[in-house]
Amino acid sequence: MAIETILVINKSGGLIYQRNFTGEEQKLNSNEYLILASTLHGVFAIASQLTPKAIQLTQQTNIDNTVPYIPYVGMPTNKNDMRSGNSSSNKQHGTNEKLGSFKGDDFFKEPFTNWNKSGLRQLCTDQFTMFIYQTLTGLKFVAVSSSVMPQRQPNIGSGDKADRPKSSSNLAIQIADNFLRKVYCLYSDYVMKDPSYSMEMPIKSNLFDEKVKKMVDNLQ
Amino acid sequence: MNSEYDYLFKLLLIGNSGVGKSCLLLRFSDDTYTNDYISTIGVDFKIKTVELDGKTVKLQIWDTAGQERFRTITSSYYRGSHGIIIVYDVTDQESFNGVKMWLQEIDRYATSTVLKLLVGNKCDLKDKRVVEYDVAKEFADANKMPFLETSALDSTNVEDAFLTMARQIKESMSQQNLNETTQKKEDKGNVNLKGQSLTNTGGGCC
Repeated sequence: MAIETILVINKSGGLIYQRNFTGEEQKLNSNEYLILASTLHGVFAIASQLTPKAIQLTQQTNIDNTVPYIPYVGMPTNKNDMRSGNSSSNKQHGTNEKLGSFKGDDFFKEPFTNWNKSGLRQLCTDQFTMFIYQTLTGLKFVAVSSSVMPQRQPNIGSGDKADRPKSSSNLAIQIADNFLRKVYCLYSDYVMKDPSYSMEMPIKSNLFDEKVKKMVDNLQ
Repeated sequence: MNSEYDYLFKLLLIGNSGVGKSCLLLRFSDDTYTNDYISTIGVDFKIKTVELDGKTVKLQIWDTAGQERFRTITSSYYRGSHGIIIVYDVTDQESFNGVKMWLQEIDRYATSTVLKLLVGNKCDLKDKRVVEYDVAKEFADANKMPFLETSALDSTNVEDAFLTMARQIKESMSQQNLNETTQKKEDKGNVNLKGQSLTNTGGGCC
């Protein structure tokens, strides 16, 4: 899945980060991106209201909101070969590149909770697919993917799927959630620890920008 | 990367239906005026880039719909806004009475530190005026917010209304940063880590 655009939207619906990865001219100007982000924020709010109250209440007990961990999404590709290898080779690769303050060779290795319980998660058109990952604090990470719906063979996630029949069975969403959660990890490392960053304002960190770019490149 | 602006301020326009919120905004952002009345659906956005103290600031103004039926999702629009402008129509007593209700909405949904501004629009219609300047001024003072009378038609005070607000936000932000650093020295460790999903708040009330 090739990522075209990454957006970060703060909890009040303001666009704080936007980057295109296709190398083409920007399709929209910065004001249009701001409007897009805020409209998305509004649609997101409407979508969560569309869920009937009764379902929302029963959902809390019935539906499993955990997203399975998919190994090495957005990590350098040579690690994919290592995932079934023995621990010694894993260690070797883990020290190759440091992941900021994260230990090990991947940002996280456990399944995680999806906080975006009744909001918009995916938006499909004939031209692109948009994935939205929302954090507990209401921050939204949005990825626009050029492929309409990746028909990738679910060779890595299939084991988890069998274990968790109730969780979202859509592999593309799971990959996107895993990927965007890693962008969130980068955000927590390079934006939140930046002393000159003022909360809820546009992200100016070059380091964050570089790391996101690297991760997007790895995904392709 | 979007490096063309340093700050993004969220301003919110609220007020009864038909008081001229969209016209006021159109005057500020595009310097035009239209006599047609088109009801805003949900929310509309206008963005204006201004320079403040050498920094590029984008003012994103959220123009909300005044009509009652669009009010269900407004809480998500109030969240995190830096400034809220309450608009009423000087020729319509009902819209001025509604200001009280809008203030309650602000108390309920917006952060307590949000900057407020009361604006009486359509002040060019002198012969139709029913809300006197002094009455509104007194009300604004009692609620500790600045007050302006504007006209989207002849563009009186329109620029002032928005730019005053932007400047205040900029000031209060640098003030807040100072306060935070001094406060950190005084008290530590009272951060509530027990989070709850945002989508769940307000659920299960009925």
